[in-house]
Amino acid sequence: MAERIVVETPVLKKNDEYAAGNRQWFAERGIAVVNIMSAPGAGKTTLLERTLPILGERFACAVIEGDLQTDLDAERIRKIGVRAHQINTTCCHLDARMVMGAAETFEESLPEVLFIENIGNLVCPASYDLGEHLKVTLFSVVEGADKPKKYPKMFRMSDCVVLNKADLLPYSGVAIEELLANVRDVSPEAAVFTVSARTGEGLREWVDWLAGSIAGVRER
Amino acid sequence: MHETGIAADILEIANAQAASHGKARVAEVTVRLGDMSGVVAEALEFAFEVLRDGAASTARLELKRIPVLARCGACQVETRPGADLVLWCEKCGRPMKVIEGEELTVESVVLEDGE
Repeated sequence: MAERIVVETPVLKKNDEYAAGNRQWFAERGIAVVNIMSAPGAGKTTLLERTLPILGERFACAVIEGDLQTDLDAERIRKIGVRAHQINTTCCHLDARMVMGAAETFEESLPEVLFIENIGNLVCPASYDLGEHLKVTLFSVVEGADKPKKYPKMFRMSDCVVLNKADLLPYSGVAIEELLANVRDVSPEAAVFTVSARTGEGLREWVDWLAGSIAGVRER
Repeated sequence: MHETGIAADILEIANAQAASHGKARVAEVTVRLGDMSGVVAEALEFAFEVLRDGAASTARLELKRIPVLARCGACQVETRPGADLVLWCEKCGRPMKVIEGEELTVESVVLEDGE
């Protein structure tokens, strides 16, 4: 005999439970956690290379790097004197369990701020709560003005959207006003910054926002 | 791309239901899938079919698509934004919150006894 059973279980319940565990673990240790998401090549590691030396004056920082292959990004972060742990996974996103495994490697000397550089992907990472406090979407202007509308979820969920590679605008054929309007449409409440991690343009405003938001998280 | 992992999670939930109810087969799994869940329905259907196992090895996946519904934080007006997804209130110009359309939930399963 067939019988319909009401289940009402979120598909990602297991990840959400791990994420709640992470959040508690971070809270007990006073760690503010920032999840940085973007498509591949938008400049996450370069932004961190430019952000960490300034932010490091106020907070002890560490970085979890996610990539399918290589520890090139962790090496780049270590080169500027910041601790980094590389996760290699065949997944298209980091999940909460992977993040805890990586966070525990810093247990001997805990950071005050932990950055998670997610796998380069504008879709999947948005579905996975990592137990972070701040979500940042990084987007390079050369990816095109229409993308926030085509891939809205990550933008909508983010506390902050950083538009990178502003130095390439003159060569990109992208109208920054159109891109900014599209970001605003799908993510009305996010802080938005236009920067060039390479030239340093706009970085001060982004780092000020980040430092203020991290201080807010740590006071909670 | 993460639809394979999601299909595996759905199957795990369905198979656990069969086990806890002492049933041999899962005939159907109904999943609510929001249009803004970040999951591609076709990819999920394909992955589900390929990965079906255990009590759910012949299960059918029923997807209930949920359109996006937004509510204004200030004046509480509710709208279904179109594909261009403008999340600003047309009435008072304030930011809107997405209140439906991000679902990714196993709603129910149909279980059967073995032959």
